[in-house]
Amino acid sequence: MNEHPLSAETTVAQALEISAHVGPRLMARRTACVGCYLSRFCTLRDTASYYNFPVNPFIDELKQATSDIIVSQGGLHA
Amino acid sequence: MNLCTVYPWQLFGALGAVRETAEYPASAQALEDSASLAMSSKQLTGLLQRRPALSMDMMQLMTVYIQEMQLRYRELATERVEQRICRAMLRLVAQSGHRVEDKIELSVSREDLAEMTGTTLHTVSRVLAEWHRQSLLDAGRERARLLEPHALVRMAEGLP
Repeated sequence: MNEHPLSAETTVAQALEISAHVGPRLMARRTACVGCYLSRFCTLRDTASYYNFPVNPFIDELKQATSDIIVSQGGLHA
Repeated sequence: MNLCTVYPWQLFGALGAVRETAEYPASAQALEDSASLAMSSKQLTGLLQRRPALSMDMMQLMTVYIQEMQLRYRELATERVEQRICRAMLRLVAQSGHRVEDKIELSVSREDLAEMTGTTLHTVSRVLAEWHRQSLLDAGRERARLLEPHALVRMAEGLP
């Protein structure tokens, strides 16, 4: 079983590298994370905390938006 | 004035490949013990002729330098000094900052910041003292620790 590479401890910079679908989700939540100087230091948990939204639904939303990663790995959602 | 900071393995001083007699209006100064590799203008020109892909890489590099210069020029012309210092620090954070405990730290002196932002040491000291008073950062002799990095991002971007 393939584990999804995104978690609450993933940094924003890593998340943006993992999938092109992460950027639009971050913008849809009206964050300024895309292009931010701090993206290498902030985790997705930090983002949720700073913008005051619950972390677990946020991570689930990102995993859903990036489920093609798992598909391409021939895993769960194939 | 600091025009540009060069990081490990970054190409610099390649103007001679285009114009052999070109003279730089700036000089390079090492911030720490460093070693640099050099080649003559003739060698570099020959290499570019034999390997055209290198020309594209050089153009990419020059484009980055031009963009950075244009950005710095715009900042000098239009932004308040606090905003310029803030942007310079955040740019350094993005390039070479590191986590210490749960804070972000960077190696930079007040002199470096003054040169990077085209202002005086006195002004940098005044601005850093004010930020220290607001608990935004803790500045030492050759380093700064960001206590409220997001507040600095808001300031750099001119956000409320």
